[in-house]
Amino acid sequence: MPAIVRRLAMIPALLVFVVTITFALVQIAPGDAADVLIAPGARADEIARLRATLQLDRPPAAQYAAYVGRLLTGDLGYSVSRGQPVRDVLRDALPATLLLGGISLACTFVIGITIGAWQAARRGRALDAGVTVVGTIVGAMPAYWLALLLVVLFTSGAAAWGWPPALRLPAFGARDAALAALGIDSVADRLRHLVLPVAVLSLIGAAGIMRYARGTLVRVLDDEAMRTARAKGASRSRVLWRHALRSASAPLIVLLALALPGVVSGSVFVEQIFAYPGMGRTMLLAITSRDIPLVMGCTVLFAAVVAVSNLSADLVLAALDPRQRDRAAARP
Amino acid sequence: MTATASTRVRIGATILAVLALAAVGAPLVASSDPLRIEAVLARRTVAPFSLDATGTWHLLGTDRFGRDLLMRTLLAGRISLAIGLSGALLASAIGVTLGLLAAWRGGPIDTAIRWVTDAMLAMPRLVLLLVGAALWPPSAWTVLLVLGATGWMSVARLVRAEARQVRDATFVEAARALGVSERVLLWRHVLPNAIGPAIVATTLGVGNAILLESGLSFLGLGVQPPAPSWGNMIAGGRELLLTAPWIALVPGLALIATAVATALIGDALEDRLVARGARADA
Repeated sequence: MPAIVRRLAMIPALLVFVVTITFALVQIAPGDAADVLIAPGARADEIARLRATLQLDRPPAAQYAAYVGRLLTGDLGYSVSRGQPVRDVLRDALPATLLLGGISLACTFVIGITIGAWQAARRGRALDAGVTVVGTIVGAMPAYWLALLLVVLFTSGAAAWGWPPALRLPAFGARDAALAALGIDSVADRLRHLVLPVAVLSLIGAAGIMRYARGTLVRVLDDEAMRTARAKGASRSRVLWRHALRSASAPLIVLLALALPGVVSGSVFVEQIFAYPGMGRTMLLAITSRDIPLVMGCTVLFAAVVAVSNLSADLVLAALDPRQRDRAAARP
Repeated sequence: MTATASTRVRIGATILAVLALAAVGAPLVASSDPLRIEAVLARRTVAPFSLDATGTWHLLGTDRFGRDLLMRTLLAGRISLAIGLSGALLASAIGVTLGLLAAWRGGPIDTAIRWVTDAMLAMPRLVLLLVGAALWPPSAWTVLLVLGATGWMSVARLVRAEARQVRDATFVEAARALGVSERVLLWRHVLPNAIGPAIVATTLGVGNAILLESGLSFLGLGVQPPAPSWGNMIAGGRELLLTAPWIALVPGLALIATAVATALIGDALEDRLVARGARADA
């Protein structure tokens, strides 16, 4: 499968591009990594010495070569705002984001396709139209707005309206501070902290992909094979959930790739609102504290995660349907 | 499809027209300066549909400085709509230029433009925006430039594909044989015939740009208070989220209405103008 090999080779090329662009932007932008380190009232010779220590006085090309050289050895630089190597900061943040993003993507997929299939079975009826309207509105919601709405509903709202304790959800952090202080790491507690962030990302994501799912399944259901299955005695629901979903599986996998950018962007806002210690929040903190090495590290890692996810979607696609192999390779 | 394309365009256009008219008109007839803070104690955090202590009725309530939320939301609409529209137009202008250049020149220029387009499409746009907005001092202009610099890819791709087809068409050959100059050929003959899908992508891009502008402003990297934008109004309401949730939630309604409207128009245009398979992947 040389096409897949070509796709694999795209990843390092893409990463080099991202590193170069980010580096170039940092060079053009006013200020540099030394700014946050300079104490107010520092003397000019002290500033010059600091810049020399950070090698910021060397020509951009030399700095670039040095940065790429260090990247290749896995050294992403030192994060001033965190007081630890960028690599360590990212190693702590990445699993949290992969967990949040992975669960959200799975929920997006399941909810979106279930609703789309349900609509396809009722196409043209009032319920179908109603769900489309609701989906359009939910799909247009900014993630941070929906997040704030859910926080209101499930914290102060839940308390005010006397909802059962199970529905009073935590809206802060990845785990309970009191439990963490006691050294208890409970899976149930972590899951409870994931409910609201995952709900935000997957509701918006599902609203985005359900119309594609509906469209795909409507086409498949109108196919003669489905009529044959009905004629052979398969029930309506069996035709929909077994036959139609299976033959639509390849285009539906494409929806995963389509939902990914939304989940990534959404997670930046969601992590910010729920104080969830992932990549998005790390990047925002790096930006507000002008921690340039950390900003660059986050950008490169984001690009890597997205590139690998896109590639995996293509690989799954190729495994499912041999006809898609060449098309997947042609898709840049 | 449950509603015909023209119905969807009509609904979307009506929503946008009402919002835009209100945003432009309302501050002109406002009794007080919507940025000014006065009688804070009597007016602050009034719930929607209620009277404040001075006897003024507020349809959408007031914020913690006693400012009327309806008026502020409309005023923010001016900024958000303006940045969204000009950001999308700037992105499209860049995209059309690069797309035409790639299709017309071909060869290494084409390869280079295509490569950069693909690479930038592979990144989530928000991450690109964050890098750009992080390095320059936050302002409306930074947001505008960054929106333009990160939104041109799908337009470039669509225009390149269309322009390549037009380039080889007989009428272009005829025009060239008649001695029409390169420039006139490009602007008068190729561009008008290659622009259709780009218009659709721009329409969808406006909604996207408005959402992204408000996102950046929400994060404090866009329009800076006291100038209101839907994003920074929502951010401003966060502190009082649990006691006065309407402050954060009301501006979002305008944002959602705008996004729904542009999605309706964009989708309908897409159904009409774009052939299957040329979907813009914004």
